[in-house]
Amino acid sequence: MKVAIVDDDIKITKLLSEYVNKYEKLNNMIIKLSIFHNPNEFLSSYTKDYDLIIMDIEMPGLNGIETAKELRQIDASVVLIFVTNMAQYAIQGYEVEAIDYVIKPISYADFTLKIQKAIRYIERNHDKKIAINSQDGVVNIKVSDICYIEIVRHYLIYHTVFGEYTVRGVMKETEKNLENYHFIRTNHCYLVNLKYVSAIKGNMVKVGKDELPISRNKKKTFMVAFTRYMGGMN
Amino acid sequence: MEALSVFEELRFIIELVVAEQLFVWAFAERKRRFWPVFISGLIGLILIAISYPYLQSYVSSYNDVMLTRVVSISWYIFLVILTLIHIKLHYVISWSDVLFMGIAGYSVQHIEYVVVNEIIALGLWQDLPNHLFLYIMICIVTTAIWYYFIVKVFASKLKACNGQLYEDNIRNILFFLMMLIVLLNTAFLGQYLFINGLNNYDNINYFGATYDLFSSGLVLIVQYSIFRISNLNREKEIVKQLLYERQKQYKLSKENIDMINHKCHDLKHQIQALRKANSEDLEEYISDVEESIMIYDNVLKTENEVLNTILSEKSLYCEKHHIKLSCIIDANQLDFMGTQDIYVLLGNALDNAIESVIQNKDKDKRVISFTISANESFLSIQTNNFVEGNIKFEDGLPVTTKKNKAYHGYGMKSMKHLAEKYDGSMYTSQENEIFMLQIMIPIPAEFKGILNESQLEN
Repeated sequence: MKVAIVDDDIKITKLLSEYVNKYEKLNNMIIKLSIFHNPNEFLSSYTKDYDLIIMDIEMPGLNGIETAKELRQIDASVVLIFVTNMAQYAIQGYEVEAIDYVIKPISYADFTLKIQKAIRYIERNHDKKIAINSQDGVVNIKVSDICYIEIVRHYLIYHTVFGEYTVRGVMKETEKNLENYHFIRTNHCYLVNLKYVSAIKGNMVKVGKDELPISRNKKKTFMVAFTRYMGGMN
Repeated sequence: MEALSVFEELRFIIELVVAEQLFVWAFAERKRRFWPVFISGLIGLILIAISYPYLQSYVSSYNDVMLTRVVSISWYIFLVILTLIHIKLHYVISWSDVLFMGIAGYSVQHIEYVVVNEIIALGLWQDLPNHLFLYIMICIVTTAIWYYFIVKVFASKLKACNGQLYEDNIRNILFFLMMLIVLLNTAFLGQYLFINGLNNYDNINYFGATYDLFSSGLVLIVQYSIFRISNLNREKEIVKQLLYERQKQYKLSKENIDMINHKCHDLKHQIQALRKANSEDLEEYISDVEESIMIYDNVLKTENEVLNTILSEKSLYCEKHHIKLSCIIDANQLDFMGTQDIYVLLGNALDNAIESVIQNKDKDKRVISFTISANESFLSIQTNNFVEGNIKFEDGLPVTTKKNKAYHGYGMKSMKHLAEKYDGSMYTSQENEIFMLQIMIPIPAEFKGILNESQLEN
């Protein structure tokens, strides 16, 4: 996991690094930590491989919220946690899709709760590449780019953000292969990536631009799976 | 075919359907295409019902008394089952409740049948069916009076059930199926006794009819008492919850007032000190005063009044009990829900978290995170808090244990119910020491449209 701490206050970055190290040891993880004392420096050297950004709101010059707004232009999906003196400043963190904040003085318990929440979302968003034998040869696609998979007789149609790929295959195997990537069956012919669910109405679910039917007996499981997906719960 | 026998079949099916409707109408929610389904179903039922005389004449050509009887019994059971399926098609109702209502409906219809069509038309006044018009009028008038009486007795009880009495599980369905079978058998046995086992009405035994009448009456009385008990339980539960809420509210108000009194007291002394202070100490005193007023600064403000009310009472409470509460809140997205619903949903979510962390022995672990966010079409409400020990879960909800009975389950259930009222869903779980509650509610497209417009205007 790769984490960046952005704070002009050296005392805070020191404390947070200690907490990160403690958490890393207690949970047997490997966390690669980068520290920035200047938001501009952070933005200019930003690379998209960060998993988590911990950022102070009260910084001179460019404040945390403004920095986060610019960060979102570069990386829309990185998980973001704020550090703040005043809760009122952070309450609107949803505008930059911050998942939470820690309030000063920062306790280790508070930090743990928030970082665990962050890790849930980081794990939810993890991705992998799969190779599929489409009619035009082998194609490598990212699981996160698949909107849904449809089965028509013995063929699987991968509906991705880049277009459709048709492959000979069995739904059961594919379903197993994508098990940990929040895919769920809405009926016997669709396997849906919850990431692309954009509306649920009655027995229809909108995935990307397409409306797919949910069968009656799959509806409850689907709703639970989707709720858990939203909360990053596995 | 005789007009009389057609009328008898017609009478049976209409009386039965209407009797069942007496119960379901007030009880269950009607489906969207109610009238088309109801009417086409009714026509189908009537057509099937009046075909019976043909079947009967065909069967009796075999001259087998047993066969005729078996076919006749099976036929009416078949019709009863068809009417139950008919109900399921145009009402939002569980199978158990369909059976329950079907049993009540059949009993009501059967009492009418025993009194008018057996005792009067086949016994006391055997000539009546020959005057068909008069017979029909008597049937209509007596049915109307009897059904009106039933509606008067049952309707308010039915309404109070909120559309569900029993949920579908094997035990309930088997229980009611058994009750239906017992009822149908008693009815047939009663009729058999009434005609004394003959195929005509020459030697009528009124004991059969009386027995039939009492057994159907008994079923109705049992049904009525089940309603009463379930309503009483519901009321008791509501009163209990209200009392609990009141107590909690009182405790909260008292604590808040105490805290404000305490702060005011401090402030009085600080101001007195300020008056006497020399210029060197002035700065220090002023910052003391500022700190005293800080309690109100810690109260979070959002754009939603209901949420502000909840947040101000809970955050004062949290401050007093050293609970760290962090909130990220998109308050614009809540307005499609009713005020009462927002209050209960969010208030309960926070109360649950507060009640849980306050039990944590490690005071550092009194941390709650509360997040409300939304994307294009879904509202997400999430709480995270530390818990000590392992919580048991059942069907996505924590199970109340003996140790911790503090109305946990009740608040949870009403939240889940509310989420589902808005076509959403709720799920809770625990990971390491952290309890998570997640609510997902689809935002109505119309609301999102209005919201986007108003944001453009600003």
